[in-house]
Amino acid sequence: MKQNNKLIVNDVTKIFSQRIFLSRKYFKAVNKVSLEMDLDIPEVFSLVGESGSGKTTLANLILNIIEPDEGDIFFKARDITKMKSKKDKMAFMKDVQPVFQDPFESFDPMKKVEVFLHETVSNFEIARKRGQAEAIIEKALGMVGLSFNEVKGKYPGEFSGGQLQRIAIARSLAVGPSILIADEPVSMLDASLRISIVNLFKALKEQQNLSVLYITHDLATAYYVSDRIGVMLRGNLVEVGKAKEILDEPLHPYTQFLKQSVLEPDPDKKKLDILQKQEISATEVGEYQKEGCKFSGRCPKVMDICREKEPGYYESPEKEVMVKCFLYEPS
Amino acid sequence: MSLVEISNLSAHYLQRGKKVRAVDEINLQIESDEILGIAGESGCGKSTLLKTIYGYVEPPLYVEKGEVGYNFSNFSVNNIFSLSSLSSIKWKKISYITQGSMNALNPVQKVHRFFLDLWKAHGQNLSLKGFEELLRNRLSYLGLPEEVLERYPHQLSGGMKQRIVIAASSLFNPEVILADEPTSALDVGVQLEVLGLFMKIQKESKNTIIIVSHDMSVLVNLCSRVAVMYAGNIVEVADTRALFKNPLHPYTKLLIESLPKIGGGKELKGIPGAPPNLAFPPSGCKFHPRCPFSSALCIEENPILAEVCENHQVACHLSLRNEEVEAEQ
Amino acid sequence: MVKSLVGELVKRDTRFRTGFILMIIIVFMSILSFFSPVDPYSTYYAPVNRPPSLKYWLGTDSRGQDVFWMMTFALKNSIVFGLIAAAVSRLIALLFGTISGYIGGKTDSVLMIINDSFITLPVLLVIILIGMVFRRLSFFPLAIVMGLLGWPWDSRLFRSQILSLKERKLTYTARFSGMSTFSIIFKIYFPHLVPVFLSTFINNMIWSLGLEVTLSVLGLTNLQLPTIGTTIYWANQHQALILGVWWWLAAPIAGAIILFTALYLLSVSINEYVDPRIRYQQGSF
Repeated sequence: MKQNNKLIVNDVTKIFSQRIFLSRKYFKAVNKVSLEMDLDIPEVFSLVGESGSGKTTLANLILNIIEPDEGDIFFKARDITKMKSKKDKMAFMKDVQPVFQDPFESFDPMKKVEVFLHETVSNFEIARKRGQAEAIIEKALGMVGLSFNEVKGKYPGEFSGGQLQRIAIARSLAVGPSILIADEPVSMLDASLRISIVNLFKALKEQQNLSVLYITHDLATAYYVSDRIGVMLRGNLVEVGKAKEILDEPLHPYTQFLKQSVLEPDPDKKKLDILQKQEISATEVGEYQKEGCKFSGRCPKVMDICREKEPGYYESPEKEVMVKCFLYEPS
Repeated sequence: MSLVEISNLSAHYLQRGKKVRAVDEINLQIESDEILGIAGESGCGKSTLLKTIYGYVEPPLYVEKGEVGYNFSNFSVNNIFSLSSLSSIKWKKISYITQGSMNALNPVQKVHRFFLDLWKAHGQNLSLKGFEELLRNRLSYLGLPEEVLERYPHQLSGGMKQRIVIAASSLFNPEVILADEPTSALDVGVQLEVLGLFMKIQKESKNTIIIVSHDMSVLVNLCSRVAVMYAGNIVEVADTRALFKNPLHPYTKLLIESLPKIGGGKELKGIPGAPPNLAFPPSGCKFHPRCPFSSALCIEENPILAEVCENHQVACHLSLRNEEVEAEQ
Repeated sequence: MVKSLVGELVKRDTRFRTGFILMIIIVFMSILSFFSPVDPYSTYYAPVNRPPSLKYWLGTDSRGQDVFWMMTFALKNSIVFGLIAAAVSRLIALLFGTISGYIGGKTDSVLMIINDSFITLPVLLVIILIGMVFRRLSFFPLAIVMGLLGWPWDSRLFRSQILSLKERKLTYTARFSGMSTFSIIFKIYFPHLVPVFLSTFINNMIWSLGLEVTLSVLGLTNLQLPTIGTTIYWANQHQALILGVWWWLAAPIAGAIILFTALYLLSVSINEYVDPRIRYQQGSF
């Protein structure tokens, strides 16, 4: 029987509550999101969105840090929300590893960095003897361009952000996962260091057959590194498909808005002169509570039906893109 | 005569007995009616430079030497780098938006209390009524409804809070507005609005805005001139277009080349290595360990900022050498 | 880790240094008790009510005991008492706080209800009640009872530390490194709790010693065993102040003041050290 080597997120919903003075408002941080990644075809899939889009929540759901309120998540044909035994959870973590935004938060400042590296290797029983463990750690560090000698005996505070993030990635790689869930892995790093980490993900995809779920708010980096992109707005996945196709010619009005708003480091493409209107964006909670499409409040192409009903997913005829927008409803 | 003249300025932090020189022999002239951007990565000293320009210098920050002189429309003065000095010019001639100031609004007070405190501290030359009218005008100028005064900060979005901070800092029409990373925590749409506001204020009052950002795209779009800082030194200053089309300093070149663009196709490379520890800076030019063009001179001597072509200054031995070669020819 | 903590504090903080020195004096006195030529339980072996002299350094009391040697025993017993009570209460506080904080949910609510009920107990009255029921509050049982009553305040402290550690990304890194819950708590969380543990340990010693003195002065403890409190009790019984035997009261009171001051200084400086140290530990430089 062929091993089902997929990550399948199936109609997943997660509800959070926020207390504002005495009343409690509920909102769907993630709303009926579905996506699929075939690990036999390693890819970099970027989840792009602004603050409050639900992308981090979705990442946490996939990492099994929190549980969905509705829907299921299958990894290699197993329902991860139903994993109870330690054995199942360890097997899952051997395949799915995280990379977090702040490398200094990911490590314990009171412990040498190698502690977590050793723990990873010994707990997942990858090495049988001490000597073997060091060899595996050396190999993992080598994949990120570092050596054990550079890392041995040092505390997190002794490294720069870029180096520490590489060590964090090396730790994730030590178990030989099939997919990395990277939540804003470069947003705390300087611009000149970002590209080297992002290039690293590309190299890992090509050399180690590693898939990466890359979460970011930075469209330009997403364009550079991704094979596919999913655009999220207030918990909804509004456009999914090939990265360059979507960002070269976005279909969903929100994606178009994002592309228009992103500033470019090119003096020939200045955007501030053009802007004349001084609108104020709606407060966040207000947008979550909307019936129908969450973008209807500020969409320049809004129709009456958008305010009443939530759109379904429609496939674009020319491209491999799914759009959640009534504009593309086949009539 | 420039509006702000910075000459030979050096300032350091005292950390556990070690001097960390975040601002190292800075010379810069800032004119009126311009938007100047200060670019650089974390630890380069750009925020510290802004603080010293404003005069917000308190331990562990010390000014070692140098001067910051102002030539306002009706008088000139030299800053003596203390918080209380020259309080007559603070907020009225020159205002300062610190990093994350939108999150510094008192969460248990309505917004109008913030402006009341502002009036008490800096606006005593106006009656309360006069101040309120000035405030109302400025709020509507910036597109804020008057109700925001009756709200608490947590009820407002990030963009609205930032507008309030901008309202406060531009209220008395200062000749210089200093802004440290004013859009770094904002979503792209809101960022566009906020930067548009800065542009609007500058166009209409023709004052000077100095903006610090690690995001080059912001500076390209907003500023007329950009200064690039590295490890406490200014390594290049030029008109925005000239800087981006023709960067002369290797750091600027590599930095610009490492920025991804939507629609860009080629493989990008970052800058190898990491910025130096300012407590133990490298000898000579501080960029030499990471510079692909470094020579023996670069290891010995720190190059001085010099004008190489029209309105384009750079601190690099390579550029100076090229210029000499060209001059000889 | 404790050694480095102590080393740094001795260098940097005058209060800690002073407290440390005072503590060494007290501990030295206590150790002397092992070399005492007299038996602490015996009485009337020396002439009564002699003022301090070269022969009897702190004089003698109305029961014919050498005050100096009695003080060495008193200090030793008081310190041992404080240590037992603090140790027992720390362990319970740590256990409660950690389980409650880490597991959360209903377990947390139930444990915290139990916790808060203990907070509301009027400890002095409860102990007096126990004393009345059992006729006597001897040394070790009393120390253990103090321990069983002295934990609820600090268990909430440990609980909140654990709660905040649980939310930090390093916990997730630990989990994805395959570490078991046990490992995470012992290897990762507990080292972060050491400064708080130390400072509350000392606080607890101060509290239990204070209670012991109170109870002894009221005559409710084992009065044969010399402690700071029982010495004061006997001095009062024999109306030492009226008789002019001031040294009999002065010695235990001075001992108490030095001991409490030492503990207070240590506690305060460790407390302050905890805060900036945590900030440093966050990796900000």
